[in-house]
Amino acid sequence: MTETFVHENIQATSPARESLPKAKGRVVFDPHWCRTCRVCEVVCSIAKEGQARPAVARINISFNEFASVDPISATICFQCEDAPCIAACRVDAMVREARTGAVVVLQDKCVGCMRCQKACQWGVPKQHPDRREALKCDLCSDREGGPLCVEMCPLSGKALKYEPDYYTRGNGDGRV
Amino acid sequence: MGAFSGGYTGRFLRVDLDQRQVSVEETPDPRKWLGPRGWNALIGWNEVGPGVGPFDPANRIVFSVGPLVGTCAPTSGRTTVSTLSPRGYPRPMWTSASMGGYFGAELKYAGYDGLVIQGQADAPCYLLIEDEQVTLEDARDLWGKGVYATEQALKARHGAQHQIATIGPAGENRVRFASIIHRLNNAIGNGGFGGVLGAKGLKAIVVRGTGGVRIADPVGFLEAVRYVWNLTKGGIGRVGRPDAGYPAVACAHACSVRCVTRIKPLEDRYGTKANLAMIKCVDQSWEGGSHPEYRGVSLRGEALHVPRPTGLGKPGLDLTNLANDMGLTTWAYDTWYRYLGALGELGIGEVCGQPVELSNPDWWRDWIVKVAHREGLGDDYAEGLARFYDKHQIGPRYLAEFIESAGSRGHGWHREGRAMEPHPSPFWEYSALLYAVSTRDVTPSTHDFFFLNWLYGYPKTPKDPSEISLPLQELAERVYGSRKAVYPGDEYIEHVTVWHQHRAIIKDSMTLCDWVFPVMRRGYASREEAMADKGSLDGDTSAEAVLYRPCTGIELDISEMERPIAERIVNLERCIEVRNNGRCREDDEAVIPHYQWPEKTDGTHLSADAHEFRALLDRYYDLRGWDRQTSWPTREKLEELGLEEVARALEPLRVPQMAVGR
Repeated sequence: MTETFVHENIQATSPARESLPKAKGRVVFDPHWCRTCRVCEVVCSIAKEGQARPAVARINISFNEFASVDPISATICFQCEDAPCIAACRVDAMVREARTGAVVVLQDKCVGCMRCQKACQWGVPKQHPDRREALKCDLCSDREGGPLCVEMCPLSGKALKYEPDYYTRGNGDGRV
Repeated sequence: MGAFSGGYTGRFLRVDLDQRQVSVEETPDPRKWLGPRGWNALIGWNEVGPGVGPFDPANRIVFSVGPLVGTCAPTSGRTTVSTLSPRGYPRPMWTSASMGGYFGAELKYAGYDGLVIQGQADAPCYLLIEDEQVTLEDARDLWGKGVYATEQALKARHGAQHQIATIGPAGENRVRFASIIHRLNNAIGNGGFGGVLGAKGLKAIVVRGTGGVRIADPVGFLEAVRYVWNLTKGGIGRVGRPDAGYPAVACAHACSVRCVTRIKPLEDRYGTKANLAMIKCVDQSWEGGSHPEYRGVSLRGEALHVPRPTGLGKPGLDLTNLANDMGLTTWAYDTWYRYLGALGELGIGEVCGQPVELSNPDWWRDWIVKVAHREGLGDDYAEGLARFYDKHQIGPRYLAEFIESAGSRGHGWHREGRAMEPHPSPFWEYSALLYAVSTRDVTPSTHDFFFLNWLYGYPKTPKDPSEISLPLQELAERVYGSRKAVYPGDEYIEHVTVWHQHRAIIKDSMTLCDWVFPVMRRGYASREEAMADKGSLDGDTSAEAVLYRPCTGIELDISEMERPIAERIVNLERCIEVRNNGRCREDDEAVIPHYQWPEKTDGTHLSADAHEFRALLDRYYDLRGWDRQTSWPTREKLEELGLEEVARALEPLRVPQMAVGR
């Protein structure tokens, strides 16, 4: 898979995008508050897969003691406005959820080709270790209270924040 | 193994370095043994017989993780390690230690409740665990390297998500206070286990797991986590420190409280620009100095001044890093400064013809490296202060004994090797009783009662119970069943001690943080929150069971965890000591000379014959069901606890009581 291919693929499917729901909110991570407890990973995997298993969590935290710059970082979907993952999917398994604006993977359609991962600037969607399926944050769209990781984060509102109007309030750019 | 639907994996990994074989066996029944402390003691009893030394291939070192490890249960990311520790004095003793970081959670995700290592490799190797794939890899290129370089090399080789526990040169050279380091400075530190891995030729354990921990009742479990987290969020001192700056990490998986940890960049000398997650507590004494000096006169008229380690400023921070890199416990500064500093005040400025320069960072740098490599006099220092004194006899014996002795099992006295830190009564009595019946410095698993002395206005002994705050008295009644537990003196101390020993076992078996559990008092996220709730000391001492039930699906309540499970484990650990070391009442009473030093604030002594302490010991043995004369668990007690085989094995060793009396 080359970059050109991905780019062409996005171009080819882009006309359909006008009719898609728009980006709305996202989870915001602040490394300055994160204490790297990784509770978010565990609760995500409990909510999504029924067991404490970071390998299938839709958010991952890294504390790299050997990194002199940014030793604490998170891997989580920005739900960006220009989601290239949606366009990259060739089986229409990536869709924008209308209520939250989250980009979600339709499990019954996804074939785990991981084009979405390659299309993503940060490589956020990850492959399920046991199944051919892409995994990514859906902002717990099926849950009234918002993302569970944010709710259970011991520094909720600081290390992890849910901003449901991040892209609609006028200053969002999809970056931290 | 009993039925369970979450928490445990049910699988234990065994690595035989002699045969270079790896096998998987069933985890011992959680309903009988609860978790790490129980499993480890069972392995110690079954597999490490009398006559085995800490550095022998027959010694076992067991790394194990409790049912809550790998979940989001508050502070649950700890690993409990047990082995026959070379640090024990006058004899090596079966000892447990624990560490935070991500190692334990990763081991669980790889699919194991624990890991037993036995035998001795014929060439240096490291253990690589990647889920089902477990191999022994060549470590000849890593042998001799520091902890930081080793960890960096292994991460580069295997991946940043692999978690690593490794020893430095100190462990390789069997230094008796060598540590096992993970994530640069999470440590199995003061127990002295590094040398055990070194003797086995095992440089490191590298683990990566992509599996998960099953949760019996996910909804109920998350509810329990919310409840307990709300109680415990403050960590040590029960008040969190959210204003940490960047970057800041908590010391264990599933804990977000930066109790006293901070990160400092390393110097380039280690060949890496790693950030160091520094556990501040005693580590920081190299930099900023330690707890107070001690000045007193013993019953026998011996005058003593033990100076306060002053710290070395920024170079001291570098020395902390060097000690970690060499794989030496960072508590070493505190112990050795006090001894060598006191010698200096007595006009002894040289040790074996070599000058001592305690305020010179270069002298310490040289000392650390020589101890870690057992070079020259470093070879004797590496034996620990108690053994060092036995060999060289420099200065008065009571000075060395005051800092490290048989009574403290070769660890620094009081509060984990701070050489000494007298507490007000009854905390002094509690500490002495714990030391008497332990196999190492005891505080690492029994902080909780000590924390209450802060409510006393430490270090003052109240003259009268009316001086003790009412909420503290009420807490004592609620938790221990009597207000006398916090009154000066030792009237109720045996009950407090037994309760905390059981709770330490439960905590080490979940595996949770000692600064938070048992939750006798609730914690707060901030000073403001604490002020708003002034006066309340409400906690929930059943918090472990609240988390345990929805996680495992096993219906155990906290009283069943205490008795018979924790009681069974305390007894089995004691039986290992009895069988292997002939542990007896005399050994327990080795604590008395230290206990007789005056208290810091009121200068009182125990009587010369220490009948007060002996009576306390009698009451403790009675409460435990141990024989007053021998201190051994009675046959009846062992049978009551379902330890019939243990009782039978001890029977031939029981000697006529006359021969054992004092």
